[in-house]
Amino acid sequence: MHCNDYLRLISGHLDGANSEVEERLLRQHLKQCRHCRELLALMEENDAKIAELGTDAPPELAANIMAAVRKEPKKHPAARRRFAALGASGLAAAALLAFVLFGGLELPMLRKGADNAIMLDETASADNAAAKTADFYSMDAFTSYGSTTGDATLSLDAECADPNGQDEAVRQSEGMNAPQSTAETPETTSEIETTQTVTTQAPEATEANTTTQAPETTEPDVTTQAPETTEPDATTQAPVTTEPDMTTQAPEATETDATTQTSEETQASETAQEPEPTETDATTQAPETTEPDTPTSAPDMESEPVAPPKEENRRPGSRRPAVGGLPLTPEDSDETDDGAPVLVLWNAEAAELEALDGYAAVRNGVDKTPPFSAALRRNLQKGQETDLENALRERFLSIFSTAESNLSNSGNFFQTEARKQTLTVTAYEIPFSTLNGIFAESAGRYEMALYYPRCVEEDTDCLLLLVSIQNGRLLLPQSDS
Amino acid sequence: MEEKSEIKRAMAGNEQAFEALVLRYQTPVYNLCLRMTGNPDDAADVAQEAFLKAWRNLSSFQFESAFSTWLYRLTSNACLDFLRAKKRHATVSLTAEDDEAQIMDVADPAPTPESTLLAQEESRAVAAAMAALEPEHRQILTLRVIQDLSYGEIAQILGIKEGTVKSRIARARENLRKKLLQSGNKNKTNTSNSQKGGRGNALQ
Repeated sequence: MHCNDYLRLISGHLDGANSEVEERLLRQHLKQCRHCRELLALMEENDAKIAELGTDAPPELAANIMAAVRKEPKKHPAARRRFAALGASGLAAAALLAFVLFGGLELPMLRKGADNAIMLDETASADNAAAKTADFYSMDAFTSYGSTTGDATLSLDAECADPNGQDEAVRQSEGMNAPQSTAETPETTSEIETTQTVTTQAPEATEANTTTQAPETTEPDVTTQAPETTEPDATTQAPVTTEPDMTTQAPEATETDATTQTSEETQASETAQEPEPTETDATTQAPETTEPDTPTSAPDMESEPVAPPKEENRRPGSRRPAVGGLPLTPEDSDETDDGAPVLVLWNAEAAELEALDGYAAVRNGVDKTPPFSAALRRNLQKGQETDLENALRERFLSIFSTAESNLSNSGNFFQTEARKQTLTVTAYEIPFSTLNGIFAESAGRYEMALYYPRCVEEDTDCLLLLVSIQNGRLLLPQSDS
Repeated sequence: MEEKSEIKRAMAGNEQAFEALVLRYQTPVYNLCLRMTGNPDDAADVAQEAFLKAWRNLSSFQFESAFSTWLYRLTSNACLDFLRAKKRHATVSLTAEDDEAQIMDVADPAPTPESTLLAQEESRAVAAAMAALEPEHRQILTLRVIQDLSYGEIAQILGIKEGTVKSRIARARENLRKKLLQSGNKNKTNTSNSQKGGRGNALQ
C-alpha cells in the first residue's frame, strides 16, 4: 500500500473509527513511515485547532429566531393532522402532483451543462478520458419523441389523449378546473398521442387515476421516426459532443410556445416547505392554505436564436416548453420572473438515487452511460413507447415512494399540494459533476430537481436527475440529436 | 425525555417549547453555519433560517432520529442552499483555492487565545483554511471535530454511508493540511520528501 492509502486509516485513527485490523495495519506502517507519522501528528494538531474554532452563538440569535418564528403564520392544527394522516400513496401522489405544477419548464442549465461534452455514444465516451464526468445527456439528447413531424413528444395531455372528454368529466366530478391550455392545441396536433393518460389526485383524493383510451389517437409510427429518433449515430453526434457553444441548443428554447406555460394552473410556492399543503389554487384548495398564489404566467423566453449545429437533424415541429421557475428562497426572488411556474427542490437521499438503475451501475463503473437512458434508447429503437411511459412512471413512483419514507428527515423537502392533473414527466440524467455549473447558470430558475447535493467527492459518480413535468406530454430521451 | 416533551409541545405550536429547543441548539447550529458560510453575519442568518425551517416542518419530525440529527440536517441543507444562492450571486468564489479575498474576509470567531499572538494567528489560519475548503469538507469537519458527532450521526445528517463519512473526513483533513501548507503554515510534512524528515513525533 502506498502512503496515500493510509490516509483514511490515519484519519480513522484520530476518530477512533478504525477496526482492529485497520489499526494493526496502520501501526505497522507508521513504524516504517516517517511521513505518515508526521501526517498523523499534523492532523491531530489541526483537529485541535479546528475544535478551538467553536464559539458561542451571538446573544441576540435566539431572540431573533423567536421573533421570526412569531411572525410565521399560525398553523392550523387540522392541517397538520390531515398531513400526518396522509398515507404513503397519498403522499406519493402529492409529490407527483406537485411536479405537475411545473408544467412547461425547460432546463436552461442543461443547455449550459452540455457545453462540457455531450456523450451520447458509449463507445466514444469510453475512449474519452473526460467521459466519466461528462457523459450526460443534454436537452438535445432528451428531445421529445414520437411525432411524425419529428417532435418527440408523446402526448399524454388529456385534451389530446382524451378526445372523449373522459378526463374532463373526471375533473368536473372532482370540482376542479379544466386545464386552460387550449393554446397547446396547435402543437399537440402534430404530436403522437398515446393511449395512456396518467392522472393523479391531490392528497385528499387518494385515488390515482387513470388510464384513458383514446380511440382516435394513433400509436406513434415508430418506423417512420426511427431514423431521426432512435439511431444513436456517433458520427452525427460528434459535432454536438464537441460543440462548446451552448447556445447551439438555444433554438429549441426559443421555439418555446409561451402559451404552453399557461396550460396549467400551476400554483405553488417556493415557500411550500411546510408539510401542510401550501399550493393555493383557489378553486381547489383547502382554506388553511396560507401561501399566496403563484399564478402561471407567460414563461421567460430565454431566446438566443442560434443555429443548431446540425439543422438537418432538428425536427421542425419540435418545441420546447418555456423556461421558468419560482425562487427557491426569498433571496432568489429578484432573479425570477413574476408568476413563473413552480419548482420543487428535493434533496435526494442516497437510497433514492440508488433506486435508479443507473446510479448503482455508474457508481460501480459498470456503465458510464446511464443505463436508464440506454434502456430508453433501446426501447425507442423498438418503438416501445408505451413501455417507456410505464418505465418512467414506475421509476418516479419508486423514487417518490422511497423519498416519502424518508420524509421525516427530509430537511429540504418542499411540498405543494396539487389538484388532479394529467401527469407527464420529462427526465434528464446527468452526472453530478455538472451540478455546480448548472445551478450557477440557472440563475435561480429550477425545475424539480432530484439531486444529491453532498455527493461531490472526486471518486463518486452521482447522477443528477432533473424532472420536469409538462402538462399533457411525456418527453422522452432520444438517441440522436 | 424533557426534550421529547418540548418537541411535542412545539409541534403543537407552543413557541416557548420551541424557544427552549432553540436555546439548546443554537450554538452547534450557529457553529455549523459559521464554518459553512465563513462569516458571522451570514451564519446568524442561515442559523435563523434553519430554525425557521425546523419550526415550519416540525410536524414532519417523527422521532425516528435524534432531534439534533434532524436539526443538523436542516441546517446543513440550509447552508448548502445559502452557498448555492451565494454562488449564483457571487462575485467571489466560495471555494476557489486562489481566492485570497475569500480567505482574507474570513472572520475568526474563535475565542481569542490570550496566551500568544502565535496562537491567534494559527487559529486564524485554520479558520481561513477551513473557509477555503470545499463546502462538503468544511461541513463534515465541522460536524466531526467541532460538533464532535459520531460517524453514525454524521452519516444520518448527510444521508451518506459511514464508510463515505470516513473517506470524506480523511480527504477533508488532508485538504485542510494542504491549505495550511499553501498559506505558509507549518503543516509541512513531507509526503514528497520523507528523507528530510519532519518532527518525527507522534508515533502511535
